[in-house]
Amino acid sequence: MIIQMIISVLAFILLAPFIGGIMTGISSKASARVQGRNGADIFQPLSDTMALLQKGRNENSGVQGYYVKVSLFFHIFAGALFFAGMDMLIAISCMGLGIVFMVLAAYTSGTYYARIGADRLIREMVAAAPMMFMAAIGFYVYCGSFDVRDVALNSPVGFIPLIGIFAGFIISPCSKLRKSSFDYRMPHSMYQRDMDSITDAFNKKDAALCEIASWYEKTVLYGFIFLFFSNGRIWMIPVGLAACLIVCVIQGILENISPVADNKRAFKLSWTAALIIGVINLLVVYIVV
Amino acid sequence: MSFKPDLSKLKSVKPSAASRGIRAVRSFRPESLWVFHYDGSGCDGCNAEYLDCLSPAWDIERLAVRNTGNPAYADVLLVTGLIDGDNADELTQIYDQLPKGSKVIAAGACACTGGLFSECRGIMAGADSIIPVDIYTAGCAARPEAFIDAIMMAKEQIEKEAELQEDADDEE
Repeated sequence: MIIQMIISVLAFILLAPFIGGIMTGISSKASARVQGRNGADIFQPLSDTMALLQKGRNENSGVQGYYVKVSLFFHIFAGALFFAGMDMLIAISCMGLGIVFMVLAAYTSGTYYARIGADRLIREMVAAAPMMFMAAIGFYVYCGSFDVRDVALNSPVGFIPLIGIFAGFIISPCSKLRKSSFDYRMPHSMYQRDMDSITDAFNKKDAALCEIASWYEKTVLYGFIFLFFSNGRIWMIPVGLAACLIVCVIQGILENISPVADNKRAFKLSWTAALIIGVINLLVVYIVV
Repeated sequence: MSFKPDLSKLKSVKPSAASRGIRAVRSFRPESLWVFHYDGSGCDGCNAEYLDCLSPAWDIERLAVRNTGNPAYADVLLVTGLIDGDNADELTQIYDQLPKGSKVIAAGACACTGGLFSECRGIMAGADSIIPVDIYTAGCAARPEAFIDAIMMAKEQIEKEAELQEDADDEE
């Protein structure tokens, strides 16, 4: 069992940047198709980040580089906990801590755009947090455990009973879609790219690490979506993966059909979804199960 | 008596698999071009035309081109509009932050020569009076096709220079 955990963690550490990058590419492609464009290749985010890493000398980043690396560490740690099958609440908390360090890095860089990006990032985190905890509580109520291993292997498929939480979970991370140019991730849509948000004053390496951290985070979020379809049977794995892909495309489309949705509205939508859909779903599952 | 070494006894030294692997990774160049767009003063026509490149009709994103707001990340500095006494310092600062091997494109009549305003007071005769320019794009305003052509030309130049650099490194 320990060997299996180690293999899962290693696989996550090695593959998550590729999965996150490709998912970002798919989402970006879906956005482009909605706009009537061909768009970039789905591997373009990976190419962009690799190109950034290869681009010559890096300036000394000082304390902000330290914060970015710690943030990356916490994102990886959160994913490692999640994919090792441990407590999902700790994984969510570690992910939050990773984002807090990213915010600190943005504040220390001292530029105006980075500060706006950091403010938005805090708001996004606060907007998405209730629904993420609600999802964890939903799994606990339905499966009797917060451990990812128990939910993934020893429980029936939670998609139908937890469909409200699933819908809220998709809507809520949409507030984390970061469609503004002031956002955490480097925006991959050509329409929103004139400023580099919190990476505005980062050196090339730190900006690339910031992007990679966001891919780790994204992979954990898709891991949550996979959990809704997992019951320990092999034949449910393709179903879960297909669901992740569909969610990825839906997010790309949602990003485009809400171009004027400001942060406040996204915040309200996210909390409303958590409070109404999430709580009702929890009550129903609690009473029935 | 001259000494002649017996070269036939020398074995050719083959690079190890590890060094070949490292060389392959280093020589791998991802398909990605980062453009920093600077618009000086002027009628803003070229700026608007460049933004058209991003629209569905031209869709420059499909060519692996992305814009950036940080000149330190940029492979290409795209200059449009007039360069005058007020923005010359800004342009110089931006140019100083570009990574080594980046290309500069002056697009539109104003950025190339100063255009209609070249003899006006305080107006520079094009961006190349301040910074070295690699590619010039004509037009008033320059058309989106011309922008795409210039950016692709810059991409070719960058790739060619990188190949030459690699060959030089291999020879060393």
